Amino acid sequence: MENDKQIVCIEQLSLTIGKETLLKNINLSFEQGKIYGIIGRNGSGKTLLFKCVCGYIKPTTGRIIVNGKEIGKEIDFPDNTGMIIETPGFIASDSGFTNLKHLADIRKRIDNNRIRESMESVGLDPDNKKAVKKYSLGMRQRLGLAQAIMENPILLVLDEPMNGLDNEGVEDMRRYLLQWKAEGKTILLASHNKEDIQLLCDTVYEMNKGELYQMN
Amino acid sequence: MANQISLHKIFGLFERNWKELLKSPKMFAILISITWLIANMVLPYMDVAKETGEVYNLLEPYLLMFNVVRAMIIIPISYLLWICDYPKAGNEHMYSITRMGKKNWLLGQILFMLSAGFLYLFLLFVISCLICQKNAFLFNGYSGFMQRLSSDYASMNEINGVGIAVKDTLYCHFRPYLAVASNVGMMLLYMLWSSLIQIIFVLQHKKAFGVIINISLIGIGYVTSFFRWNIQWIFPYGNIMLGSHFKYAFSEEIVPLWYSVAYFITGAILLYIVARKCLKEYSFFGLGE
Repeated sequence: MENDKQIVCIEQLSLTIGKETLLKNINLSFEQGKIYGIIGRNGSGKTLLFKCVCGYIKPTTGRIIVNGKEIGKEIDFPDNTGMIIETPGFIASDSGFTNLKHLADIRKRIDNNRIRESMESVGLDPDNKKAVKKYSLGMRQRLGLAQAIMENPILLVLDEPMNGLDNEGVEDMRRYLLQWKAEGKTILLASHNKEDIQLLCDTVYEMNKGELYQMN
Repeated sequence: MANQISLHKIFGLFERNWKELLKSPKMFAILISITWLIANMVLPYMDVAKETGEVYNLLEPYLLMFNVVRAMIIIPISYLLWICDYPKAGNEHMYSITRMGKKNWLLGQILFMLSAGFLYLFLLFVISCLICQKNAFLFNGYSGFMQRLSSDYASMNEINGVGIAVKDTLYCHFRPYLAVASNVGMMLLYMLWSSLIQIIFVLQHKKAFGVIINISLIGIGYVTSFFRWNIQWIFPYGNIMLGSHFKYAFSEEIVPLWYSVAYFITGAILLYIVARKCLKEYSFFGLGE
């Protein structure tokens, strides 16, 4: 029996590209209402692991179960999951609101008010008509977050969400993460910044050359 | 949920792609290609008919575009130009792909690409009918003018350099309605082939190869059809030209029409299966990096 509160379960996950094994036999699970941090150097495999969890990359071996469904077999991409993988991509010529509206229209789970609410909650003005191409990196990051949370997912996969944020932005982001954790969301967070990880996470893992170790 | 087919998601992608395409400068290239076909096929046909005081079937100028070897090359090339940078699976589309699921994304892309082909053929049809309607009749039979064009009026017909006469093997074996339906149907299936080839190579992270394969299919198909080599039947190009299915007027079929239809449908099914498999294995390595 799987734990009722277990949101993500990764079993014997390995990823080999060419002759190089980039992720090595990873086994772990993430429970509801907690923040899990993954630290590691550039190229250690953090982003690849997140891409596997999000269904962007098919692992060579092993399986990933999110919300009780196996990625790549039962579902292509995890349902009820918000994600940011590094720099969030949007249609550059559209405004932030229009971009989120396009995305929300795909699932039709939320209305315009909820989109506005999500943008406001991360410090963006939904009435700002500026095209996304004119956004600063910090604003794009905030828009990425609004995109990730707008459909009220139970799992958030955030790869370097503090990238491009100024000090005030980082403070805001930390506050949002703790607020979402209090709301019962499970958050997977990858960051270079050890302070973020120590301050926010319940459990911390270190990724080193594709291997994952739990830190004390 | 994400794995189920959803018409709402498929048409959402379809609508979004169209909004993007209509703003693209490629629309001008399409208009130029339509203008070329009208100027070099439809107008000369009308002019010769006018000069000789003949009337013709409204569908005849449209049929020329599919059955004159040197003109038909324009249609698949224009279509390829239109779709060559689709499907888009870059960073800016990652959040939409996640929300719609792979199957819906693939079907949405196919529907969009096919609709682009249909629109192109439909525009050609409407424009050619509008231009020709004054001296034309609509009936499921050919005019004497079409039959005399390659014999009695041959010298007038070659003035524009393209040569607009169709072979007697077309009008002796296919009535106009059947000819138009067969040509449009097979051309749409050929466009489906092109789209699926493009999708397969995009899913291999080799978009340029998709374009090269498509251009090769058109180029080799054109040459083999032009010289009427037997290997023309391997290529879609040769199968679409109805007159090629017969060696002489009233002779036996070289390759029956239904073989060509089956060839296109079987090819499209196989390509779809390959595209599905490629999409299942597709890794978004580039996304977010």
